Amino acid sequence: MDHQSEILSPEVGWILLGLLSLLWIGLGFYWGKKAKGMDGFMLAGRNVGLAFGTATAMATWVTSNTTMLAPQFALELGIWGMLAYSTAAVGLFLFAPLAKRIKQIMPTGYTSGDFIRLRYGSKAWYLFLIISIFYGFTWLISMGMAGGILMNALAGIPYTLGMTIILFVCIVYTVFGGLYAVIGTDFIQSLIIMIGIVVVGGAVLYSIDLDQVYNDLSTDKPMLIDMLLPASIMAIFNNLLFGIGEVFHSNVWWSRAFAIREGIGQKAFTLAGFFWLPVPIAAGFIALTSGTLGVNITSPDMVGPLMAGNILGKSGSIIVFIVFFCSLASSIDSLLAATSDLIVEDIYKRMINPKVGEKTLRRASVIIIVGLGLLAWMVCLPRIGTLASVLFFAGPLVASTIYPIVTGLFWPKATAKGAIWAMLGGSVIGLIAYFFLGWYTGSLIGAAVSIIVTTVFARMNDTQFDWNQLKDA
Amino acid sequence: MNFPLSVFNLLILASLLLMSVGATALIVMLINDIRTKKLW
Repeated sequence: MDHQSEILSPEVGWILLGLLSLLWIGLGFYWGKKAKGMDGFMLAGRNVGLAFGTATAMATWVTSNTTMLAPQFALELGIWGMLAYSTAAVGLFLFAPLAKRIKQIMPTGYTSGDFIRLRYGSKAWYLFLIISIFYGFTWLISMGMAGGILMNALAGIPYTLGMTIILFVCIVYTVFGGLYAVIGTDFIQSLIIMIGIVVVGGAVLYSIDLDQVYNDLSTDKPMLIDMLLPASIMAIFNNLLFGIGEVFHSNVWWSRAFAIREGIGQKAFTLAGFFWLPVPIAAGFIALTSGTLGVNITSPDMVGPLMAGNILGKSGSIIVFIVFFCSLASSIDSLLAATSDLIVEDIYKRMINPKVGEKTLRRASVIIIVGLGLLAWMVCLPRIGTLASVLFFAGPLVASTIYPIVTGLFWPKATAKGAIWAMLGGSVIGLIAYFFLGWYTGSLIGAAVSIIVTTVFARMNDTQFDWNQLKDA
Repeated sequence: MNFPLSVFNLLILASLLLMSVGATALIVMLINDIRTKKLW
């Protein structure tokens, strides 16, 4: 990747990296003392309150993509680009009632796989696990690589070292603290992210005149403020459906629905959606000021850090470094915990060793978190630059799971066959559309096929699902 | 047709304001959860 020169000296970068690593590991050890049984380790005791519940949903959804790509979207697709990115908040809003329902009908559940297995049977469960683990692992790798690339671009820290340290730190505190550590650190990380972006955004507003920025844009790049920019409008629909699919199927969010205290889940996810919604706009608009401030951007994905460094100097660069580190760690830890839960609960416990005791299960969790981290590290090592497109390629796959999950939770007539063919058909036809019609159609078509198939099968079905079957998860 | 200037300004100011409110609300919720012993 052709980056502009770093905005912090390597010495400052190493000091910040060291201090943040120590902080998260220390907190992981501290909170890890609470993680005694598997309910504690995997689901933080199933009693997480509103503050931690809201913060963890919000922070996990703020990835390095949010803080890096939102400014790039603004720079390339203008106001609609920022708004398109913001539509990912809809996933959190729509998951809110699902979180309430999940807690009600599966009070003892552990994973999203548990739900699919009990609701739709083994075949749908296998297919779902393939989609979910593929997506979770790809997301994990993309975050690991982004970590290395960012540390290198921001402070000149070698890619391999930066990527290794970020993955190592997240593995250590997730292994010792489980979901307690993940949720606790997410709270601090979400506050840092929000305050950091407000400080940088406020400083930008203080240094420039927004009317001037608007006038410069209308003269030099009018398409960025065009209300009818076609590419951006199409990006909205794709982003919206991809976002909903990502949230609905992923065990990252299901584990939070199980972990949050009864009666709080819906409120926590709704608030998280409101707090997340402005992040892409607040982080993105900074890019639109680059013309007015005369900053030459040669690497669009680094526009956010560059502008912050340009306006706020060293302090701005330090804030950006910390915000990026927090946005990476808050997603990597959640992915490690949730994907390993899926492997431990759904594959190890349900398929390999059904009579496993709690101690062995806890040991298996540790081994799987470390193994997953190591595997991600090995894949990240060669620094493949095309992984973002692999993650995007997962769009039709995850979009095809939206409707089977929603109908599975609320509609007793939804069938196993419908879910299997909806996921298969939606994925295959969505991928064909992705390759032959355009990337922006993949999720849309995948979701549409899935809706039609699920509905047709449910309409032909006369039996009603007994919700009590989900209680013995 | 362009986005009006007022919408452009409102969008940016509202996003920063909402984030400030969000950060404050999280702290208030944290204090409340600690006070009522419902942190976790």
